[in-house]
Amino acid sequence: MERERRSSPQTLTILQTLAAQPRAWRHGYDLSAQTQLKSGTLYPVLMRLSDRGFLDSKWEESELPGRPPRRMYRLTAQGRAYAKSEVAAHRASRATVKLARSTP
Amino acid sequence: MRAELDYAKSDAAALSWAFGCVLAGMNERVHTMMIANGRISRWILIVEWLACFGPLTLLWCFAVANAFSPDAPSVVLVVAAAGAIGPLALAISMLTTLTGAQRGLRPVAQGLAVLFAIAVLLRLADALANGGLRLQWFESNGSVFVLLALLPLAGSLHLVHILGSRPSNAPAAV
Repeated sequence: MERERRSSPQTLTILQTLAAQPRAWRHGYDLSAQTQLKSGTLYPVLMRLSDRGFLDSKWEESELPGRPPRRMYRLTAQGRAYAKSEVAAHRASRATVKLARSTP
Repeated sequence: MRAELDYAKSDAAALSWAFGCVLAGMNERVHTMMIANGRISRWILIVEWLACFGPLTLLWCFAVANAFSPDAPSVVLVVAAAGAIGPLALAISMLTTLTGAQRGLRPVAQGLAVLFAIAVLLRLADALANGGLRLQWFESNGSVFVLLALLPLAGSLHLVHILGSRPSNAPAAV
């Protein structure tokens, strides 16, 4: 029996944050600050999303001399579609739960 | 990851960030070192199904073969009817293992597990009603209890677990 697994709440938060400005490149620290996720949670999710082709990434030279470059991320077209479908599925499941709870 | 430290607002935030990066790195390292997936070879599974459901299936075959004789005792008819869950479980487990079919089979496997659990409970209740679970009872009924009740229950529970697990080609959650 094939079961489709939905994204974790943390993944959903990151997808929503990235989808809010789909064309903008975002740093890991910036994403962490906005999503309130720690680096230990954020980076594994970013790596999985990159592995699945949902994220584009590039290196940006640091403004500070002698410092390592920063990695920046944004959603690919496939990632945008995935984010849209995941957010829609999450909303639908929440609506179903709400309806089930309100039904006596 | 490391470059972000320059942008942390405080030393505490930088320390927390660095600690998280170490954890993420270790997690990824362990993940890439995992070369086994814990899945059981289908040949081992076939042996397991034969061991779990084979004895009950053989007993059922014997009961069916003798059920139509005019002097068949009533217990043979009962075994021929109730023992049909043995070959059914064997057929489903073999079908799942050999063809990979899963769709719609989990509820059937769950039903079988419930029936086998009832069989185990009935056996135990019978033992308790006839002097309790003593060594004597195990000596005379232990092998029957294990072969016809406990092993089928264990096999059916494993089958339910297998039918509920994610197929290897399904998308992983991230």
